[in-house]
Amino acid sequence: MAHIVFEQVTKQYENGFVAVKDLNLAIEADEFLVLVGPSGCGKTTCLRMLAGLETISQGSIYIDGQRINQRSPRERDIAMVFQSYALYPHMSVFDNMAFSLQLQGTPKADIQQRVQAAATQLGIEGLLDRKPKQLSGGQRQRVAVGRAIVRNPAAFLMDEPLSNLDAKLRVQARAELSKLHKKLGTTFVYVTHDQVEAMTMGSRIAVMNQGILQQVDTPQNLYKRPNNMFVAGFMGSPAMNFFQASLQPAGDQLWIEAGTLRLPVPASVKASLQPYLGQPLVFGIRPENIYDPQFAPPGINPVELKATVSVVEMMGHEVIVYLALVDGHEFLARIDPRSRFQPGQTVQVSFDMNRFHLFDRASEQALV
Amino acid sequence: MQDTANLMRLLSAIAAIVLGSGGIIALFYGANWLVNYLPYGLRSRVLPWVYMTPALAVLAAFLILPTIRTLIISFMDRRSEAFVGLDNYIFAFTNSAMLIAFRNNLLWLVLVTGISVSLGLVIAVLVDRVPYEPLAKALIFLPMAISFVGASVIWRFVYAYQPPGFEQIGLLNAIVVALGFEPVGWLVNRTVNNFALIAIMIWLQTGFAMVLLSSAVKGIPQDVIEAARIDGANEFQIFWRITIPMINSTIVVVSTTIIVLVLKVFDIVFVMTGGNLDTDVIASRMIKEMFNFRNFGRGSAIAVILLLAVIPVMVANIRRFQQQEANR
Ligand SMILES: Nc1ncnc2c1ncn2[C@@H]1O[C@H](COP(=O)(O)OP(=O)(O)OP(=O)(O)O)[C@@H](O)[C@H]1O
Ligand SMILES: [Mg+2]
Repeated sequence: MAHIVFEQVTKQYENGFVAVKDLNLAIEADEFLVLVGPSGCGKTTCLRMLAGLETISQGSIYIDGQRINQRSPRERDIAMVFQSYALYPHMSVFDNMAFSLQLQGTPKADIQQRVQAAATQLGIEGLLDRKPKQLSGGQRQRVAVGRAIVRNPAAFLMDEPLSNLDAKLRVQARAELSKLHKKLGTTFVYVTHDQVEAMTMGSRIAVMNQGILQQVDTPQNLYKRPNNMFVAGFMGSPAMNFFQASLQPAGDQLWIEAGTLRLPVPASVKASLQPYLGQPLVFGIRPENIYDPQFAPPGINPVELKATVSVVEMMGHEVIVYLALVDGHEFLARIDPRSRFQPGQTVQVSFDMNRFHLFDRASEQALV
Repeated sequence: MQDTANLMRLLSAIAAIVLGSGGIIALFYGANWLVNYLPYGLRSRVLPWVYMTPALAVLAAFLILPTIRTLIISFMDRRSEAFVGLDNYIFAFTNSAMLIAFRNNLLWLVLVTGISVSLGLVIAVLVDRVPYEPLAKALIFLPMAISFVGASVIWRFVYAYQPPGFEQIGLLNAIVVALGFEPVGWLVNRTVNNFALIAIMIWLQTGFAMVLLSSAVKGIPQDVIEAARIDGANEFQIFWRITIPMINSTIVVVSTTIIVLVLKVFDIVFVMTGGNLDTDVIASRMIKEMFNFRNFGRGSAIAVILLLAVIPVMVANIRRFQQQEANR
């Protein structure tokens, strides 16, 4: 178990490119922290700095209060699972898993027992004599995890360990890793660009974009209260719909006006939005908060409006509908599968005005 | 006049190339055309042989037949007139000069192979981390481009010896004398002359080993090295437990290539010492028996022995290659 702190960490590569900028992040011992973000945002760079594979240009990283910038990887007591698994091709599965213990000079019997235990836990005890080349992708992934857990390290770092698996295996491996984390109770730092993985596995999620940390929070909070438009758009699938909008008063009501859209602001948040009257804003609503009025559940605050259906994607348990407003602005809705929307139809849809988001258009930050 | 002669020569060279390669193409094309008239099942079995036959014919004419002839001559007397049984072989394994040659060759094998491969490996790994890698590699590889005879001429100057009191023009002796020692007759002193010759071969072969091993070292995925680092391996452990096992097959190939080369070595010995003063190796003995003493029987016997010594190495090499292919 390790308490990991990034303090104003910046990484500038030799070619001058700044991959990570001013990162401040505290990871609790026993936490499953997921680092998520689009490709090239600096996730791997963060992990490699923590592992000691990459120098830290500025700032400090602490493990359990000790500054570790100058420590070599072997002095950090950290295990890492690589995206490519990076198994030693010339060693058997057993030796792959035993390597770190052998280097530490652990007694043979001890190694045997620990590797065996880890292998049993991962269901690979039958593969110990094989070479990595003779394993399937899923088996290799388990060996890579096994190699990490036999060491009993202070923290596990994982860089997209599931991205080479097929969809079904990935779901299974996801659950297994979560279980493993509960069982070991050790710090996990897990990198992915898959937001479903992030939402399902993380006790907390750190969202990065272009080398800058955007928000760190629990999956629920991240989903409910994204700090800015990037996080709002990145977390959730399909992504949140955005409309250029502004707040206009009319009578004693406050209205969100977005092109031909005119949506009443619920009384509960009216006061807090008063300062933003007339400013350029962005209105956001998730596809799952748009309903076919026929199947709208109770307890929402529906505002009906007219839209034209362009595409209907039947997913089985839900339907994704591509819609366009009268002014041509397109958006997506995720609606009840019983809905009868057909392409070409003009239909009524309900926006749940208890679940909308407003952002400042210039700074893209969420309004409180 | 001279110009037209040159032009003619150029034209005939071009004609030879065109006719030669054109002939080969026509041959293959024609054979292929003929084979296409065979029934399908037979065709796929015949076709490889059709393509291989010309090569096999050339191989037979220039390699296999002479080998067989050498084998036969090795059982005959010096003029290849009478059958003498194993006499020539008995000579080869009992004659004192031959025994010295065997001993020397063994020395060459162990030292040249061992030192150039390990030195090449160490340099390959180290050079991987220096910023001016291409320059460093070029310098070490440079001797490879020099012929054995050329290298020998260079090293004659390095080893040159003048009696004490005279100015030393040899690099090595100049250093030795400057340090206050007596000059050494590197090539005449029986305790050092073999090593002096072996050093030349090492100088020539280290670059070769380094270049091949270096590309193998570069072929090791970076993340495997990083995984080892995270697993707690220091650089030394990574070298022994990751790098060497992973480039094992290249090490074997490089070693066997050098072994074969060393078994055949004779030019260096021939130019530097002429094989005198106990510096003979098997190949230089063979040349002597064959052309100096005109004893074709003995010369051929030694040639056959050399051939037999090379075969296991070649077989090992081919095996290794096949294994590697199978593992792909
Ligand atoms: N050695 C390097 N030198 C220069 N730039 C680099 C180097 N390594 C990575 N980068 C750049 O740094 C940025 C972050 O890279 P990083 O590998 O951390 O991305 P990532 O978030 O892991 O992306 P992915 O999801 O595709 O793996 C990228 O824009 C990349 O091009
Ligand atoms: Mg990455």
